[in-house]
Amino acid sequence: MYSVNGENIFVMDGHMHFWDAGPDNHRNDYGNAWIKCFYDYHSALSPAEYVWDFDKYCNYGEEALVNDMFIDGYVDVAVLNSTYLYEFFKTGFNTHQKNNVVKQKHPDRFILCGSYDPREEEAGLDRFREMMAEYPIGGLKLYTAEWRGDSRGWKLNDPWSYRYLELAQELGIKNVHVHKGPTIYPLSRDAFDVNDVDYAATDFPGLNFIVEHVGLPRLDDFCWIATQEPNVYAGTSVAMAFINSRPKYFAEIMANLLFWLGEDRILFGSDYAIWSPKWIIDRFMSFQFPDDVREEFGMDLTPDIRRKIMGGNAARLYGIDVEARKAKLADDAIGARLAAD
Amino acid sequence: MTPPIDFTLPDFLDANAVVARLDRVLDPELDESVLSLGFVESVFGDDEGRITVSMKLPTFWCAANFSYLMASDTCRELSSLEGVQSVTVKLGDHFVSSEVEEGTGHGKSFAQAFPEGGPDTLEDTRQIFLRKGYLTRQERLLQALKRAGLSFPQISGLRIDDTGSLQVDARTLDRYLERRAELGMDCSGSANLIVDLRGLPVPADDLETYFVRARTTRLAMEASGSLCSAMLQSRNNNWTSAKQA
Repeated sequence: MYSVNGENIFVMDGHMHFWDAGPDNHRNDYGNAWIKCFYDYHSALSPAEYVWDFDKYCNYGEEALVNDMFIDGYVDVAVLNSTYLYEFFKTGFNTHQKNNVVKQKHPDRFILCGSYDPREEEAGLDRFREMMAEYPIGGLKLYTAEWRGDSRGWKLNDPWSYRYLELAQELGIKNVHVHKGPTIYPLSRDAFDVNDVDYAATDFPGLNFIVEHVGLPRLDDFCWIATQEPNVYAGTSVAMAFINSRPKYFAEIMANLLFWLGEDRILFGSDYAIWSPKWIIDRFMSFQFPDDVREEFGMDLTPDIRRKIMGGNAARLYGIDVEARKAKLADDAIGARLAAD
Repeated sequence: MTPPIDFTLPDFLDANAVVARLDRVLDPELDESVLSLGFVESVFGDDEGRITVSMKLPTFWCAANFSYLMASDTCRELSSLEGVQSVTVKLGDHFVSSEVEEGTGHGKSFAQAFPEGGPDTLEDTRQIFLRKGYLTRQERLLQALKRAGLSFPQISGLRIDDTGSLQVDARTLDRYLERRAELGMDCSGSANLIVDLRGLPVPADDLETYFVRARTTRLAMEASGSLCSAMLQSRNNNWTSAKQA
């Protein structure tokens, strides 16, 4: 909850992680290279006082997570990503099984994301049904660039992917988060190309596709698709983190998203623990577009727009009744800690 | 911000000529030179004319295809200098550094260097980004023309020859025309100043819409470039031992 002028603004973090990337979990040097690269993102854009030491960053643990998200970080409900990366990490990077442990302790605070990998074909469909039956899966996080054997990625509109999307929809899934962001391993074909979202969004009008990291470095291609597909949304992690050291680009990105998508299709995301929600939200809630951006686009971040981006839009997608949820959260363990502070 | 490049060159090679060549090598995704992005760490040449360029990219994972383009362009640019016998590009701590070094050093195509990568050709990728770069450079020119007080209908009517009398930064104009020529479009003085990717003039009524789209492409490239610079700086600061290796 972010309080301003006597108003309590409901905050949903649309994109965060609880990973274990300590040396014991590295399957190979790629695991180390992976978390080092994440750490470079962390230190590249965080304010100096929010930069952790590398050891903590590899494995920060549950207490830091609860503090950084809910106690200090204003977040009410967080969408907990699941990223598997078994090729790099022995027990996975942040699997839904591991994420569910913290979800069980704070059930109303987290939306747990599951996932699928169409390369598992028929056998994977059964595993997907099991996951949906055994875990409180609220959404999906898909990672089209993930390695598997010789494969270096897949596309949302691959025939097997459609089988999974059909099944997910049958089983009640509404929201699909797709990682389309800074390139990690596109070999020849571009695994972060956003065009596959266009096909899937057209063919599955009942699903919402939240494109994480707004397709950067393919922001323009993402905007063209989102303009045509009403069920495509902007997940703004990475872009949000520009707000500290690159405020002009942050303003231009937000102005473009507002221009192409409108204020109802933009979701806040911190990408925690890459960046902490507290400093992003502190800055965002008082951020004004620079004069030139305001004049050129004829718009600014109004209180209403801020409210929607911070939580209103995500709550709508996930069918959360904000007032009812606020009341419920006030009574859980974290709510009690916040009240005592 | 960018650390100085360490040059060791034989007498017959002029560092300025080497710099000028490297400045022509672009990161295609960002449409900026590898030099201004700070990717080049050192250039070493021996008396036999064998050159080794050591580069550091912003991340261990920077895409193989773009990395290959930068490395092969570096080889091509430096190989044509007199006295140069061979060029080797080292990417250091990078997930396909040995494939890129070996492949570009022996003039292999990308498909030969990465047989598992499929039939994708780098030329298609290069074209996509040359065209995005064209829109980016054109958008900067349009911004400059707007700042100079011209309306969209006025801009739409301009010919290349008219630019002489306009208050527009020469570099902005040159970079635009340079790319326009590279894409094989008409750059004669009587040609329309603003043409789309098909080489056709943009009618006055459509120019604002056209500009608004180009603006998003320019932002995507610039913001990505800004992130890459921040990442490279962060990488240099965080892992000093890797830097020494």
